[in-house]
Amino acid sequence: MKPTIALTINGIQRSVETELGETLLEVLRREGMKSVKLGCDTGDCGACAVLLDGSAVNSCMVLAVAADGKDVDTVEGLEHDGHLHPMQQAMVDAGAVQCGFCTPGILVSGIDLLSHNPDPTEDEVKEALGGNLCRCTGYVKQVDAILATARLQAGETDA
Amino acid sequence: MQLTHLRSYARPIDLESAVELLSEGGRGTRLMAAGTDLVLSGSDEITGLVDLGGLNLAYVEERDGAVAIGAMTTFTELLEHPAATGYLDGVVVEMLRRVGSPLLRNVATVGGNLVRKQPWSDVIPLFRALGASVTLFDGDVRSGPIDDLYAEAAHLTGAILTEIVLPSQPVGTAAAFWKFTRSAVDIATLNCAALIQTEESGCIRARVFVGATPRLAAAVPSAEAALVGTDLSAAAIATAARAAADEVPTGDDLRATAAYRTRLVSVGVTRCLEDAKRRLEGVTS
Ligand SMILES: Cc1cc2nc3c(=O)[nH]c(=O)nc-3n(C[C@H](O)[C@H](O)[C@H](O)COP(=O)(O)OP(=O)(O)OC[C@H]3O[C@@H](n4cnc5c(N)ncnc54)[C@H](O)[C@@H]3O)c2cc1C
Ligand code: FES
Ligand code: FES
Repeated sequence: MKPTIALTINGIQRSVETELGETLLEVLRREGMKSVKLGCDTGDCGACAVLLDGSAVNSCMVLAVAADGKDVDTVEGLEHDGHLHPMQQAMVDAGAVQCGFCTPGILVSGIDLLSHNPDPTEDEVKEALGGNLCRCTGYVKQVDAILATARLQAGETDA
Repeated sequence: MQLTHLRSYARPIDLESAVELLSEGGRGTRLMAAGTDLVLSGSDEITGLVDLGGLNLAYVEERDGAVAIGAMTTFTELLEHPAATGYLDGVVVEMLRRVGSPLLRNVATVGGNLVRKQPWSDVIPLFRALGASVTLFDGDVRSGPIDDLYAEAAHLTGAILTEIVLPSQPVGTAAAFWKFTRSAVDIATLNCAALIQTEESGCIRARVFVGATPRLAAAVPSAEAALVGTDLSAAAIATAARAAADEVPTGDDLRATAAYRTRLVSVGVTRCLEDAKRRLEGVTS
């Protein structure tokens, strides 16, 4: 049996055919969401992180059929009218991207954090990135980029 | 990872159907909470899943000082809930913030952790030290102490864990949790939880649990006995820590040797008791 599930991916409703035992990660990549990376497949690296109903989760640990009816947001949905999302731009500006494999997952964790804590401390940013491994950088620049995004967004709301 | 042998998946909306589906499904059918362990197991033995996500078991409620937790509550939902923050100076929150990363805590459930009985579980030693009770449904509703889940002959086959209750604690009670890891988000090399209850006369009740030894957390009766009747002085705590190091059987695995773990038992029990005592002093002074 190949069940069809309903997923709202980056705001667009889709009917997606799955295999029963497949993970959300596999389905999303097949649907073209290649920002969702297969890193460890054991829940340890965070490269596969997506927002599931608004919360950052590792898509390698979630069965696709169990996500039926839910909203999924990936990095593909961040760019608007050719402009990067402020956190993407901040990552570029801070030099936080080297090979880039971890970057989508870090953006997902960062966006989840700022959505419920718009003014985090440095320690809170580090805790939020606890499940995102980066083999290239020293994490400092990613933390800087998320803090810079928070400052920028605070400035925008003050104005 | 995939569950390549999965042939059936159901998401019932009442407990009776869930229990029926589980028993009709036979040997390869499992209950599923968030499914993190089930999916990552990639087990070929799993042929059917009964998803508990439609049963409205994700909730946290304060009930006269007690905290009721639906089994499907995620770690994040619990750690952000005021009932958890307010319970015994936030000891539950302190423990949960050491469980995995937000990417795990946003999905993994309290019930899945308790039932799965992973030896490194951080939830089990603390909830046992707190004297939690659990409710199970297998056609009938049964409630009892959480310790029953971990008794030698315990098996949950066919039953659904529906609710966990952390009891209201008497004045003069404090608890603490300690976890030793190789990195911030690793599972425990060793963990420890303690609860102490005091009156004017001194300590009248103590619960001490040590886990990831590398076996599942167990009570340490000799340390508990060493504390009751004392004033929880540094000397009394040191005696309890020594008793624990003597009593708790430790073993080798890739994270640590038995000898190293035995040193950790003593450190962990000491730190937990000192933290609990500090909390008591903070409250009474
Ligand atoms: C990367 C990673 C890091 C981790 N770090 C930690 C850590 O630091 N500390 C820690 O304690 N744990 C840790 N864990 C374990 C984690 O807490 C468990 O995976 C999680 O709690 C399981 O919850 P679940 O909802 O996904 O359970 P599931 O995978 O859905 O279920 C687990 C088992 O319990 C059964 N089950 C689930 N719910 C019920 C119920 N209500 N009634 C009866 N049976 C049920 C299922 O049949 C299954 O056998 C980690 C896991 C991962 C993947
Ligand atoms: S691929 Fe999912 S956490 Fe690494
Ligand atoms: S930039 Fe290469 S893994 Fe992070």
